[in-house]
Amino acid sequence: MSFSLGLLLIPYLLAILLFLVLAVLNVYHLIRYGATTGTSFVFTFIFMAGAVIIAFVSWQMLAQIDWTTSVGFSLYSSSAADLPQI
Amino acid sequence: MVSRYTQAARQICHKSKHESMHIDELIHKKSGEQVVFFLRRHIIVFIGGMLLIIFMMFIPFGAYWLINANWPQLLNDTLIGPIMKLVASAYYFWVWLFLFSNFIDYYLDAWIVTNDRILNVEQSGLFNRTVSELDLINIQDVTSEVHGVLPFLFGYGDVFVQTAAEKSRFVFEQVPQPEEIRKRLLMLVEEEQKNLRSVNRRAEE
Repeated sequence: MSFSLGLLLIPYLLAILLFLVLAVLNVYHLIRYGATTGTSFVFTFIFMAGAVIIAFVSWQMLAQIDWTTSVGFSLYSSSAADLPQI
Repeated sequence: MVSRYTQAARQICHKSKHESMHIDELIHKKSGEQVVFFLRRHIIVFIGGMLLIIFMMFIPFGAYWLINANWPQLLNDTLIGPIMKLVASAYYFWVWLFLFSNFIDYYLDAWIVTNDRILNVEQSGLFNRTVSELDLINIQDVTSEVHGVLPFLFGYGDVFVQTAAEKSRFVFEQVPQPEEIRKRLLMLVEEEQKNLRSVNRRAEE
């Protein structure tokens, strides 16, 4: 059985999409309930800056992978040598 | 006219006017109503949550070290390697969001005590928000509790406000100086009751 590595990106992108939706909702809550103060602004800025840094590092890390590679695996291993060595 | 009790109570308010939520957006103040306390949980409660999240951020490093030491071939595997990178990336995004949500939860929970009533503003998760209020005149008993080593060391605890009604007590959770708040709250109630008695007397005359 084989599939393209790019398929793994689908659940990943769904997780990121959900992250974005919840992040926007969080910021909306701060604004909606009148907590637009210096403290909330600083925390929102730190959150956004951190998210950008995580996105940048992730991009750097994931861009090195060839997502078009087709990988195959077998449900049953024929040899003990295929197992990871502990 | 602000009484000496009200002035003393203001000293407990640990947030300045500019750092507090916009109270006017939360409550419609009656004429002559003044905010005496604006309370949130003790900052140490928030810091504790932050430390837990910071600890969670080190878990992938520990996992990487463990895998690198015992199963280094997994890191270069065509399938497992990318999966681990994707999981690590999503994990950091979500831990970061968890940290921000922790701040929102801390910041949007507040107890506002005015010279007329108490307001409890509570944010539970992203979609649940409760705002309830209680007139000072209905308060029958106020109890403060400090339980545990950390609350004892950092001076925070719960304040329970009991009314005659069957409904559950108002609870100021993990607030700083609970004993002081209890005293000041009782003074405010006493003051409110005196005001009410004098109004009633005048009405009778």
